[in-house]
Amino acid sequence: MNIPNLSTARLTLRCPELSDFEHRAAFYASDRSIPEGGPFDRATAWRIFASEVGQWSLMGYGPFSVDMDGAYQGEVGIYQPHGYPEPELGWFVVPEAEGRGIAAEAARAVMTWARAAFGWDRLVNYIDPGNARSIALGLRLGGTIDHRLPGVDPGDVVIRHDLRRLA
Amino acid sequence: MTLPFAVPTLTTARLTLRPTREDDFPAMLAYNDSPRARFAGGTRDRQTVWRALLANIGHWALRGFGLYAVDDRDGVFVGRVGVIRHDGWPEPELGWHLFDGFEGRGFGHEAAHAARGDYHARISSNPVISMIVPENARSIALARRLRARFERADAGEGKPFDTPFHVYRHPAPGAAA
Repeated sequence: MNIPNLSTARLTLRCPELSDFEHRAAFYASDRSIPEGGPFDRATAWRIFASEVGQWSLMGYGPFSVDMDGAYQGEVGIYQPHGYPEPELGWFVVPEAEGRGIAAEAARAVMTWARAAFGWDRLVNYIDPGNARSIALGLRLGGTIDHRLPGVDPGDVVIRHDLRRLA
Repeated sequence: MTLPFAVPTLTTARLTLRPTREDDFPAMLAYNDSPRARFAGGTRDRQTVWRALLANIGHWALRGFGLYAVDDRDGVFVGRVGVIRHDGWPEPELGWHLFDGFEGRGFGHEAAHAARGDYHARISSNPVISMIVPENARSIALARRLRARFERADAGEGKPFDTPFHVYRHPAPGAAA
């Protein structure tokens, strides 16, 4: 078995590959990455990208690259860098993919997969309070803001997704 | 779950070169916190060391080669060796570091020789480089024992290190008896 390919109505979620890095490097070079602590230089972006891909080996979960009609749209997956209280459902789309429901569609597929693969009851998002788009997406996916759960950085909005609803 | 990449296990007379594991982290942290790391990027925080461990596994997935963890006959983790090409690096580099207490036994030579041969057998016959800061006399001596030759001095300019380094060129496969 490989890292699974997940299919949705419009999307294919697959293992990241080297050429996907250019999109992440462009994201981290731009002001769009400010809510994630950026901008970062290319060398740092590479370490982040490679470490997230490396999660698959040790943890059995990690990022999926998202394609639509064979074109790269972004990345959605489960992230857990050092210091994260628990695995995080995360997403990133290229600018052209914004506003088309792509991240939501991919995130639903990842939550369903995580429930089936690991039996988890929940996934969380850790979102910078200034990142209104991501907060809106988390809520649109049915998540609820949970002030009792610890974040990563001070002020993080923690959104809890109840995966039992998916079973 | 298996992965879309496989890290080989290489065996030499005294050593095993194997994939990185989660429980390699404490030894990597100890190395990072020691003065020995000064030639290999310097002391970094815990989050960054963990990210480096994961990034080297991701490097395997993305490029098909990378750093091996090296164990001695007793299964003791003694250091890391392999061919690495992080983004922005000029060429694939054969790199190595041994942890405190495992120097001076030829482990670096034995492991680096095996990793170099594996890279040439599986990935490319192009000769690799080693990038070494000029003050790191032990690594320069090892590069020479591996028959690498000084090629050029690089000012660094932040890529890939913050300090100037020297490029040593390893022999082509077949010439590296």
